[in-house]
Amino acid sequence: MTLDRTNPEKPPTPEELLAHADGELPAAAAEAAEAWLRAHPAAADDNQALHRLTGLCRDHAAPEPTPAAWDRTLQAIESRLAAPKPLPGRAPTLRIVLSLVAAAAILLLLTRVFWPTPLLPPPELGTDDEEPYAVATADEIVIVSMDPRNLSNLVVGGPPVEGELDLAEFDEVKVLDRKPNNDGQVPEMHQGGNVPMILPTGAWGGKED
Amino acid sequence: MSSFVLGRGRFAPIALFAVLCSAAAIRAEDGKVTVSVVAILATDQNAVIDKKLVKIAEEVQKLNPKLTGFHSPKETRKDIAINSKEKFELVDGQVVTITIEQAADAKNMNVLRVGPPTLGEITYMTICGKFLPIITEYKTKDGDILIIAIRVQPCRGK
Repeated sequence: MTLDRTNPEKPPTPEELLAHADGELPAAAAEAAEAWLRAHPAAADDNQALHRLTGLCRDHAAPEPTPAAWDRTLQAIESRLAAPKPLPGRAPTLRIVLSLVAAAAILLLLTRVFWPTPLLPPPELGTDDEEPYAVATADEIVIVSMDPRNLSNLVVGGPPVEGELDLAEFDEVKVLDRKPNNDGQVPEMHQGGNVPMILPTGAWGGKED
Repeated sequence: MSSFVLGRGRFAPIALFAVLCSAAAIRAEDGKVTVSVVAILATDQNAVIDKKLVKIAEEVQKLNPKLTGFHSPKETRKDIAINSKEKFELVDGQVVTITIEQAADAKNMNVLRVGPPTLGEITYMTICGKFLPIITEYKTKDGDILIIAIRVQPCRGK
């Protein structure tokens, strides 16, 4: 690291600025680089270009060899491994083959790392076959709570409770326990109508204490 | 458990029965049930009744014929875990607390502990898929009476 915090005028190297743009500088070095950039506004354009570059690198992965290419390479290696072992007197040939395989592997690795990334064209908005802002379908939306009077404004999904309320019958409800509130109010089961209802004590036909 | 069931033949039916009973009380997928709560306001100031509240309006009017208008300002549906206490907002900051003590059993009966506004706590067993109305003593500033309807789902096999 060549950033010299004792000499703020010493410019960071291009590699350091690139590392800073990529977020790879240690905290102290990054602070020194930012201080230098603040003190030298003329370098702002270059720094912005570096940020764009690192952003492109992050957003566009290097091209991968196709699965078919990997398969061909693997088959080639396997066929070589399966081939009859050379006679002792032919050892130099084996060394040459291994050297070639190693060289091919290194070449493949270098190609993967340094192969120029094709710039992707900017996405086109407004085409007929693309939906810029995808709208969720009814299956992807669960309305947890709403004022049912706003049902006509609901674009996607259904209300929390669909249709008319289906009420339980008397033989489908059984009170197990009741406790009074702070005012001594104990809920009662109303038995007089066609369906059971819970009522306050002493009102609505409920039983007086 | 499996070694107990498989390893001791004479206890196997008992253990299997216990396992089946416990499984029957809990929803198979995730141990949660869906609770729907409808807040209803009943009034004597108009005669408008929401379509979905017609049945409940008929029953409430048998007790108090002056209540001629019924509408729902809020309905809520939540998935809640067994034995966890959940609050459901109603109107004017009022809430009802609901705890599912038992999900649908073999007869599709659930056990709920409910704490409605202005009333004491009540624990009851009810069928899945149907609403039980609870009339409270809470009144809005307009004099509307708050009624709650609660339903638990799903039913077994649905």
